[in-house]
Amino acid sequence: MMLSILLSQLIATLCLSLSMDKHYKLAFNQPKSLRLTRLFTGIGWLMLLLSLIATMGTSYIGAIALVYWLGMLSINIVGVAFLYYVKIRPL
Amino acid sequence: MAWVSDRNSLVNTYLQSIPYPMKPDFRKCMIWLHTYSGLILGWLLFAIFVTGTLSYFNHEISQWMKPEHDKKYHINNQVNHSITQLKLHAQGEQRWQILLPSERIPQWMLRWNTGQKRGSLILNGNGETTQKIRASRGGDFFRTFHYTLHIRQYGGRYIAGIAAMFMLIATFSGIFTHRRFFRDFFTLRKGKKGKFLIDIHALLGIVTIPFSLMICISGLMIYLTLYIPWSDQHFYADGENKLNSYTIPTLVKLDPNAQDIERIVDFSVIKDQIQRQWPGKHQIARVTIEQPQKINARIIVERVKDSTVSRQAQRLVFSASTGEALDNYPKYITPAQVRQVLWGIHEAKFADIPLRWMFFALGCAASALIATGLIIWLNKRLARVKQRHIGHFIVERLNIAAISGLLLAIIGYFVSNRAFPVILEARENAEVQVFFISWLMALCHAVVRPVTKAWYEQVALASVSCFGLFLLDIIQEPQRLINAILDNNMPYWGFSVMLLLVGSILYQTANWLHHRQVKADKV
Repeated sequence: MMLSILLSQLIATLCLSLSMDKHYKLAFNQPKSLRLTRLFTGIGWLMLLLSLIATMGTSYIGAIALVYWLGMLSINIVGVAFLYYVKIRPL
Repeated sequence: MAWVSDRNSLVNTYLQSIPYPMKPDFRKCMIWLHTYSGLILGWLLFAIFVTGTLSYFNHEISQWMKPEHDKKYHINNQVNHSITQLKLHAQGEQRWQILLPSERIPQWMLRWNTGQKRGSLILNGNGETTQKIRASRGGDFFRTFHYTLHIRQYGGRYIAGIAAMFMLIATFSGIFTHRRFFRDFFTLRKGKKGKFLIDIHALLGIVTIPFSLMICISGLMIYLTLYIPWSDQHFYADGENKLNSYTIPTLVKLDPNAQDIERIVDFSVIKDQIQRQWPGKHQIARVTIEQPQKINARIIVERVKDSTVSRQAQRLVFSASTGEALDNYPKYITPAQVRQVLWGIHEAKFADIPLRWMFFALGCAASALIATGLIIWLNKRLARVKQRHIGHFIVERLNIAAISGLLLAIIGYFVSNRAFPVILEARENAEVQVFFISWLMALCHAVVRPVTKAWYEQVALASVSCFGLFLLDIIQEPQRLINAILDNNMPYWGFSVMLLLVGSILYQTANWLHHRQVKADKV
């Protein structure tokens, strides 16, 4: 369960980052359309919301589940930033 | 009005005389505040954050540092067995306490006291009192250092509190220093010297905002009455003590003149009642028996903390002679409850292993945030000046001593645990002395050596020490690690794996520093 939440958060943060011109250009080397921006933004926020609902649905009490969700989100953000860094400078 | 113009000219002269005066621009003011609030106590904050991060695993560290502890307990009714032992060793004492072993804290401990007079006993897996355990503060040293700085009697908690306030200021002002907060959200630039470090600092800063706010605010709330004592001193004659008596719920005092009859009911009677209220295995953490020799003796059972965010676990109260349930503790008043919850979040006793690792990762990120901030401050200024002054020298050397020196001190503390003989007198104090002496030596080394060499040598030594400690542990008693793997004693083998992992990271860092030094020498 936690792994699927982590994965959905990763997709969410990736989509939200791709909805930004700078990161999209870095990833695909071309400018993006308004439609794609909306699509990535929509999917990003939706996945984020779904991951939150899924975390609240685990056996943890609400407050602990929220701490989990925020912690995982932080780790995902750092992870996505490093993905872009690797893209700029392959290891 | 002449004095007004005099004063204005004086202020202007002063503002022009300081090297980086505060500008009327809001963002510039915030940058100034962020820079100097971070710098002034940055080294101390780094030490507080690193030791605090280690404290998330203080019981696991203690397990590794006291390998003699039994991990398997063969007694079924541990409370009844403890009561039998307490009758033998603590007859006549006013209060008995039984701390039951758990997976995280495999220590079966009995404690007793009459007023200020205290005693304790540790039982082994068979419930016997023969266990010989090496004296060590274990992970608790990091936990207490984290908020007392090992100078509890000399205002350590005040200093730690001031550092937390500075961290709060640095966090808030840091938010305003980013011009393109969202645009640069996932950005780590390469190539340009120093930019990568600034990006890392900004990214970690954003990511750890909730964590840093939570840790600093909850940390301050724990000792709120210590930092803001005036209201309770004003309203209550006995200050904090009186305030605590109002806010901390207590049970009705037992009559000390009650009949002397020691009649403690079989604990299985109470256990059945507990099981109905707290379903699940291993729910009891602690059992306290008050006035065990009297007819009105009372048993207080405390639940494990993994089902609540609050620091105060659930409790149940029973009559020791009949086993019937008695009136429980009154509820905490709301402000006290808020404090208990914040305290609980700060200590994260509720956290299971994955969540604990998450807190650890965030703690590491916050520590890295402080370390990068300190290095950025220096790099920016060194790039601007032609000739260094004493301030640059001090910051440069303190950076080395505070960052790599602290790592050396921590590893030195672990090495001393294995290097000192088990029967050494005042062993636990000797380990702590090694920690501080190593740190002091790292500072001296940083002062006398050239900067790049000092960084490299300290990081390389820390790396070698990690690998050396792993080998030392294996050479001393190879069976320990083998047993830990066979019994899946994760704290033990996990610690050994972490030694190798940290050693490898430090080796890579040392390697990188060495190449940079060679490059610099060529130039």
